[in-house]
Amino acid sequence: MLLALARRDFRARYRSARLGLAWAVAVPMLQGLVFALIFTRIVRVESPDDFPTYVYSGVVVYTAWSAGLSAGSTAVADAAAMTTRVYFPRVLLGPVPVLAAVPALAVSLALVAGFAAVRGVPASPRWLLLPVVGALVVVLTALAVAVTSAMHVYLRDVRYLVQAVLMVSIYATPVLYPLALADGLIPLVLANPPTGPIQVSRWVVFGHADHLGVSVIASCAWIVVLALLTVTIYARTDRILADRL
Amino acid sequence: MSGSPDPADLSAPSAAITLQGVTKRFRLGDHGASIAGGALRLLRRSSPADEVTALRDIDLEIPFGSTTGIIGRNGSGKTTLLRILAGVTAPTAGSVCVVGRTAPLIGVGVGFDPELTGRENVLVNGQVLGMRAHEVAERFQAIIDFAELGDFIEVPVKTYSSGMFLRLAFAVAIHADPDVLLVDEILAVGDLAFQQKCLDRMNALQARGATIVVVTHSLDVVNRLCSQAVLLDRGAIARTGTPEEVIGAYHDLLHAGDGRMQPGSSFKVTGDRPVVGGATVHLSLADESGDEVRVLASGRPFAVRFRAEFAEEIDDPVFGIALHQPGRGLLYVRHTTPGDYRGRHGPGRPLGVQVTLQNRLLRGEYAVQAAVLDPMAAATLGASGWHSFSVVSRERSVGIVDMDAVIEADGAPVTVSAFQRIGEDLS
Repeated sequence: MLLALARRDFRARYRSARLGLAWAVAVPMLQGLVFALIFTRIVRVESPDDFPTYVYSGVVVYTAWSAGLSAGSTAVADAAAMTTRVYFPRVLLGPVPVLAAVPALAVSLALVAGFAAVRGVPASPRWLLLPVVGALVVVLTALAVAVTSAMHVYLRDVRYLVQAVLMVSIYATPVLYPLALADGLIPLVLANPPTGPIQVSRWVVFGHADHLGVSVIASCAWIVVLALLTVTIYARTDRILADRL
Repeated sequence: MSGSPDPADLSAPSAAITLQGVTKRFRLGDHGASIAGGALRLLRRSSPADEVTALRDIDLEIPFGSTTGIIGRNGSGKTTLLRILAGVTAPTAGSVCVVGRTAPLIGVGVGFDPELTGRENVLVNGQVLGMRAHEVAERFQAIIDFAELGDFIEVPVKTYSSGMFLRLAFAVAIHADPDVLLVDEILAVGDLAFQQKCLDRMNALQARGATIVVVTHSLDVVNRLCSQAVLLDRGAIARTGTPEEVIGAYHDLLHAGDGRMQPGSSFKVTGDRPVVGGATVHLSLADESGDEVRVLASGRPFAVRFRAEFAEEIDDPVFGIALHQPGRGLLYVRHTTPGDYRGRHGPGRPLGVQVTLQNRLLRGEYAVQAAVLDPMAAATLGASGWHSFSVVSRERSVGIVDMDAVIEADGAPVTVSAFQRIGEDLS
């Protein structure tokens, strides 16, 4: 059922756009290029790695997180026509747009590897682990969105709050700068949920990443906390969410 | 749908649907709540005044294989009850136990996406309604046959006419092959042929032993389809029983404490004549055996009885009745002419009238009114309120008046006179 809904969402999303899926791949690529231009030509960031590849891998992961979160947070409220008429587990609704974006994420991750090869980053069998990076960010995003989509039903401020947090928090992730440069802010950056998958992607591409261990632990902690929150929230509200729509 | 049956009751459930003490309260006024509102609410605590009770203490058993009609005025809790049965929302208190797979027909086309084709929507919608993917695939042909869509099944549903959309949506829902089918006012839409098709399909489900619950304003549907009915009033069960009993109770409810519930302008009996007052009129309907009724059988004679009480002395009043159908207008008026009736009335000497009528009305909702005029039929002394009633029939005729068709083909009778047949039934 989750798959059927995600497939519907995926098809409907690109049905009347000629370039379809290409848009979902092109936008993060364009953003990565712009960031790479700014931070190599205008502001010169010292980086041990090929900086455009570094930024592009980060942007792809962060886009999966932010696009999923902003599309999914209103999902339960948007599906009012459905939820007030037929019962199915409401927890499925938030993650639907996240899953619908998986094909675009897969293509983007493949392009990260291609881009890295073109930029002369030495190829490695580690690159085969890129799907793991994808899985990590999808699980994290799906759980976060399950929580925010239920909260949004009760507090319609959540959608704006999510937008604001996403807008600010790209600067609190190591997308645009090497994590080591963050100095005293490093703990804050490490606590940001998307930092984990981003650092894992750097390790997969380059073979090293700052604070890799802590990032992975932080991600796992987020997954556990969000999963517990999801279970708690839906155990209480699954059957009464529709009353608020 | 799960529920929590009485833990002491370990035996198999005796009914398809069992409700015990079901109460549903909604909190008012914080749709689209904000953080500020949420904080305020925490400070104030929610007061009972912010809540509305949609259902109170409903006890109901719906037997396996029965078809139950739920009727009631707007806001009586019908749809909330159906949503609780569908599991869309949980009751605030009480327990719900529904045995088997339910398919809700609460607003059709749930989860349809206008950008996708009919085929794609059927696959998703079928699963939303509880079918497994392979079940949808197996029934796909039957679904598009029922919907009569042909090649349109491969076209985005945004290009469908509303009728096509509805047919497809209904077709999916009806093929979910449920143990319990929940229907909310579905049959109010679609053309006559499609309505008939839906009714036939529901009859087929009944024949297979499915349990059906129908929420409707169409008393005719309740009468034709249902084996039992429930009347809801302000969130509580006012009456359960046979469709006829419950429809009768519904009419009584519509008029309880309000003799002036009048469709259209009042005093249809007396046209534009001025109302001068001086008389009050009370009216009732009786069937052939003289029992007071609110449901009449088409083709059977019935009586309109009314009683006029006068504040002043009056000689030789003129009086009559009018029949009206809501939405269609005046159907029939009959009153006496000056001089037809000779009699003296006044305080303590009321006028009692019985008007016997042949019931040539077809099934539907009607209303009757009686009025009393002065001896010259120049002014209205008083009139009753509109008294609503239902006519039921097994005839296939559609419309208002039974024209008693006799159909012959190639010189041989195909159907006989309904009135003649009723005469034979009686003898």
